[in-house]
Formats: sequence, C-alpha cells, structure tokens
Amino acid sequence: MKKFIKQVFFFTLIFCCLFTCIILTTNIIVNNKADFKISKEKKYVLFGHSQPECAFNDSLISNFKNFSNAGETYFYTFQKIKQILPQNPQIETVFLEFTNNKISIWADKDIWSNKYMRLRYPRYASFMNLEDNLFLMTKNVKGYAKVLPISIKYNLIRMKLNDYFYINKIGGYKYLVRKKTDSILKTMNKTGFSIYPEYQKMSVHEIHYLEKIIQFCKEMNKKVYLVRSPYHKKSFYSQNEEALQLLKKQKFDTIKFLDFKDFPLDNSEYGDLDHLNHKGAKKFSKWFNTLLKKGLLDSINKQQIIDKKI
Amino acid sequence: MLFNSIDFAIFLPIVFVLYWFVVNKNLKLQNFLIVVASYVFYAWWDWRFLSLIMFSTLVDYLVGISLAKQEHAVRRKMLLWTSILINIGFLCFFKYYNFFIDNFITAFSFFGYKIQPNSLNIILPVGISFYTFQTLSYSIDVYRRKLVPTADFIAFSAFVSFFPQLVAGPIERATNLLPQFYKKRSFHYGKAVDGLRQILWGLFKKIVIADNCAEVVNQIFNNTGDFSGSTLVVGAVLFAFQIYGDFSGYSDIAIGTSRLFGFDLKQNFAFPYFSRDIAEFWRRWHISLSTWFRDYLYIPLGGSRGSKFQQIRNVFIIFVVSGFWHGPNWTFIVWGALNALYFLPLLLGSKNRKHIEIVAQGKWLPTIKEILLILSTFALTTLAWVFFRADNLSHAWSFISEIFSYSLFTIPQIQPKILSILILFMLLIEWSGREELYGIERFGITWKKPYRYAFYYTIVFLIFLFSGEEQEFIYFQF
Repeated sequence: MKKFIKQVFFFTLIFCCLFTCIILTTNIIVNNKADFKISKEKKYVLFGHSQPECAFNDSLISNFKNFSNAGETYFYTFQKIKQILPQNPQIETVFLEFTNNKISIWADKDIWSNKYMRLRYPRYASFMNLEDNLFLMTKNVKGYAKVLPISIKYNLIRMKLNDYFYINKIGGYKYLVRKKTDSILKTMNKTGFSIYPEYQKMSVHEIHYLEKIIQFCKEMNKKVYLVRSPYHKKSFYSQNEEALQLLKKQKFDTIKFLDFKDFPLDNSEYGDLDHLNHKGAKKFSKWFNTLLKKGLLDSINKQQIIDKKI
Repeated sequence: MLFNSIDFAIFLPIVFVLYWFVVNKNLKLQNFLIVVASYVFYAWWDWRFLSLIMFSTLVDYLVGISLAKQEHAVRRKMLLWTSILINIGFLCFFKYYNFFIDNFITAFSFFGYKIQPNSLNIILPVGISFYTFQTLSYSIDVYRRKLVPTADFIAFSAFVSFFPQLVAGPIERATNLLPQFYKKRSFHYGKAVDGLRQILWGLFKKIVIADNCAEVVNQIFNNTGDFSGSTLVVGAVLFAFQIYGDFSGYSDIAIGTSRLFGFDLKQNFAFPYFSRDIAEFWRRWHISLSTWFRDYLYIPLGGSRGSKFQQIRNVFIIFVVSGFWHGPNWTFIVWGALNALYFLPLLLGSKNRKHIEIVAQGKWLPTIKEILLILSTFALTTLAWVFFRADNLSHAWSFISEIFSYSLFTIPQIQPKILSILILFMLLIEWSGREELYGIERFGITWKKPYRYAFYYTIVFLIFLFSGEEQEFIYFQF
C-alpha cells in the first residue's frame, strides 16, 4: 500500500511540475511574441461589451478603433488594455464603456462562469498576472481547472501556426442586421416590465477592475473618458440608473463621462432594446465623428455639447 | 457524478483512503462504506431517485430470502414474478410510459379514433436499466437455484448500488459480484496499478476520442441537409468511434475503479471493431448486456434450437428487445432489427461461431482477407449506428439516402485531421493489446519503466490537452 501511495504521489507530483512548466513556457513565449499593434493613425480606442460593439462603427469614425467585445467585463478589458497601450504609443485617448449593466452584480458571471471563462481565459491567460489567476481560481476553482488545459492548447496552436497577431480576434465593430425592437415592445406590453432587485446590486469586482484600468491608463499618460452608448429608453437595464449615477459621483467623479444614452433613434435603428443595428450604428457613428472633429474632447462642457446636439 | 469530472477526482481518493485505511479491518464496515459512497455518487445527480434503488434493493433482498424458504413451485414462481413485475414495472413507467402513450394515440388516430390520454413529464432516473437488470439477475439465479440468496442486507445493497458500475454498467451477475462482498479484501499492489492503468485508458477513450468526435458528429447529425454524402459518412464513422470510446471508456474506468477496491468485474468490450462478422461483433460489444439477454431471454425462448422459424423468431426477439432496452424510440428498435438481419445469414448458415478466436492471434498483422472482413463488419455496424444516433426514423432515412447519392464521391466538407490521427493511435494501441483485457494492459507488463512512464505521461497530457467541457456518457440516458 505504501509503495502504491508513494508511486501515485510522485507520478502526480511530476505531472503537476511538468504541467506547470508547460503552462509557464507557453505563456512566456506567447506573451513575448504577442502582437497587439494597430495602425499608426489610430489615436482613439474604445473598450466595452456588446453595446459599444454594435454602436461605434469605427470605419466611419476617423482615427478610431473599436475594441469592444460582446460580454466582455472590465476584468478581461484590463488584460487587453495592458497589452494594447504599451504596444501602441500613438494612442492618445481611451474610451471606456460605462453603462448600467456593466456595473451590475450580474456582470460577475461574465468573469468567472464556466461558459465565459472558457471563452476568454485561454485568450488572455498569457497576459494575466498571479493575482488575476488567483482571483479566478478562488471564484470558480472547478471552472479554472478546466480552462487551464484549454489555454495550453490555445497557446500551442498559436505557436504551431506562428500566429501571434491578436488584433482581429479580440473585438471590433459588429454589424448587426436584426430589427427586433417592435416585437420586443409588443411582448413587453403584454407581459409587463419586470423588476429585478438583484440587478440593482453593484459588482465590487467590476468596479475594482475599472479603477485598475483607469489607473493603468493614467500611468501610460492616456486621456480616459467614460462613455455610455445609446440604448432604447424602454431598456430593462436602466433600472439601476440611480446607483450608476451615485457610483459615478463617488468613485469616478474626476473622469469625464460622455453620455450618449438618449441619442435619438427610431425603433428600426435598434437591433433590440440594448443594441443598435447597422442603421443606427451608421447614424450614430457619423454624428460622433463630426462631434470629434469639431473638437468635442477639447471643449470644457462636453456633456452640454452632446445634449445640445441630441 | 461523472467519471470525467473534478468531483469524481476528489471523491475517489477520499473513498479509497477511507476504504483501505479507516474501515479496512472490518468487512461489514467496508461494505457499508461502499453503500454510502455509492448513494452519495448517485445522489450527486438526483437524490430523489435513491429511493428507487433502495426500494428495488429491498424487494429483491426479500424475494431472495423468501425463495430460499419456499419449496412450493407455484409460490416460488409467484415470488419471482413479483420481483420481475416490480423491477420491470419501474423501468416501463420511467422509461417507456410516454412512448407507449404516444404510439397508442397514433395507432388509434390511424383508425379514426381520437383519444387524449395524458403524457407525463417523467425524468428518466440515471442507470435504471442497468441496476434493474442486475437485481433481476439475482432473483432469477436464486429462483433457478444457481445462487444461494444472501442474508447480508449490507452486502446485497452494496452489490446493487456498487458505484463504479451503478449508472452505466457493466451489468454484473450476482453469481460473479455478490460473493466478492462476502470475502475479506486485501490490498494488492499489482491489481491497484492495473486498475489505475485501465482508468487512464478509459479516460483517454472518453475524453480524447469520444468527446472530440462528439463535436463533429453533433455538427453533422444536427445539420444533415447541409452536408454531402461523403461528409455524412465521416459523421457516421466518427459516431461509431464516439460511441465506442464513450461506452468502452466508461467500462474501463468502472472496471479499473473496482480493481482499486479489490473487485473484479467482467470484461465488457473485447475490441469489437476488430470483429470479422456480426456474430463476433456481438460477442465483443457490451458483453454484459448481450450475455444477460442470452441467458435470461434467448436460451429460455429456445435459443438456436427448434425449427428454423423459431430460430429466426428468437434472434429477432433478442435483438429488438436489446434495441428497445436502449430507449423508447423506434430508431433503437430498427437498429436492433437491422442487427438481427445482419446476424440471420450467419445463424442459418451455421457460421455464427466461425470466428471465436482473436483475430490474427499471435501475429502482428492480419491477412488481407481478415482486413476485408473487419472493414465490411465495421461498415455494416456503422450503417446501423446511423439509426442509433438519428433523432427519428425519417432523420435516419434522409441521412442514409444522402450517403448513397452522387455527393458520396465528393471531398468531405469536414476533414478532422487531428482527430483522425488520435483515432488511428487508439486503434493501433488496441490492436497491439487485443489479446489482453484492455488496450494498454500489455504495456504495463512488458515495457520497461522509463518507456512505460513516458507513455503514461503522454496519455495524461493528451487527456488534459483535449479536455474541455465535461460531456455526459451516452449510456447514461439508457
């Protein structure tokens, strides 16, 4: 029995050592070779989730790159931004989506749920520090154990294909075709508007990582703006508006907030209550481009200018 | 609890340590620990259905005791039928109720009658088909006086619920497994190492082969209309390997786990894809179920004795019932009937026991004739698997029609290269180990330590590298 236990123990130990070595080696190789460079003209970058992903058509906005990605939380944006900013010194301004559902406790599941961790961890594993790894591990140890081997596989494939170019795989403008707003509103008229008390709670982790992002941008001498993409006034997510305003005041008062929530759009220009479709994105992006060109960022009363134009 | 889950990776060492270090001096306590561990293992999925296992255990235990005391033939028969009706009754209710109701409605509406009986939203208890057959084998063997009924309720409960084989077999006979609960079990190093090796190989077949095949198979079977005949062939072939990797992998893990606790379960798969005809295939595929049906259904029906008509009838009954055992769907029945059709020419020509010995025994390579026979048997079984995997009969039919179209001669739209290499690797290993009980058994015996360990680490890394979402075992649904 002793011999058996000893053998199993040493077999497992050697395996764990080898596994750790492979993780570290592949992560170091990918980290060193990772290419996050974008075109030299791009001075403005935007990070966020599906709402800015569908709203900002960066082909219509000068010197602008949209890095938003559906379901992306600040935790993963932080990993991304740590690579993009140092590799692109031409970037002057960082826009960060700051909207109702991004700060809700509901966003937590997008950080460590099995589904989202499997989707994002392998992509960013090479750029995460120990603290971030421990954070994920403590939140979902089983899920974390499952994504580790996937991240090795992901890195090995990159190494085999000699493909370290990340830019086209980490987000961008999404051309949304659907027009479901009218049918959603019709259903809502029948079923009524649901209130979810749980949604009102704030995500401590998301706020913490937003602070870390802002801190990092400041260290890199970048201008930071919080933005809120347009969404329909009937959107269910707006029910934590008070909490959002309070948070903004308490924690991010020194950061300029550009609120485009009330940008006027028809129902046909929304894909649903939270996302603009390609028509809406075109209208909004052209307008935003004009605003940028007219020196929105250099003006003193930015929000007043926006509200006046809206 | 799934064998390929982190939960099981924690559960198994805990039970192992308790079993060999805490309760090792007392056989009754060891058996009791197995019962508790098995109930925890089962309750992980749904604790409510534990009551079914407990009830089934109690009924068959009492039937066994009563049979031992009873000498009157009619009363003995009544006791046996009590056990059969209760066990099969549960099985029929949970598994087949809605199937019978739906077909009842269809049959009546065909004759112009409209009836509206209630369908029930019934959850199928995991493993019910397996433990039901296992307890039935006990009652039947006691009735036939092949087995002395046990008075030890704990040992009997452990036999019914033994966690390694509780939810997907192998279906153990009471004559083989039950006596093992009476004997003192001592730890045997070689047996435990062999058990771990078999678990490792089972995990490889499940995680690397079956789960990766599943992704491609689901894509192809869920979008049959979008793919060419040649791609559908790829899908069908991969499903053949998926179900083999899945189920034989499960059996390997179950047998290996049992060995860690000092138990010997019977071999459930004996390299069936190296069979040279369908009769040989069925002697090598899901052996515990095939032999169960042979001993408790086929032979009582008359087996291969009697007139030609009786022989044909018996073959059809056993294959159709076997198909129906897999699930309440016509696809399984047709799958069973198709296998009966494959089997009949061999039976009628008295060639069903032609290939008893292992293919190319003692040689490295098979002859050309053997290769052709193996390939043709594989093609026939793969064709039958299409019915097994399809959602319904029309799906199976459209799948097969598309295979036999001109698009069969085009390049497949899906070419899973890495998966093909992995399957080839598995086949080579299994070919070289086909004279043993499982694929990598001989490596553990004949290879030198450094090569052996390098091989084990390769397998472990492949398992880790190809693991992702835990996929359920296909046979859990049966």
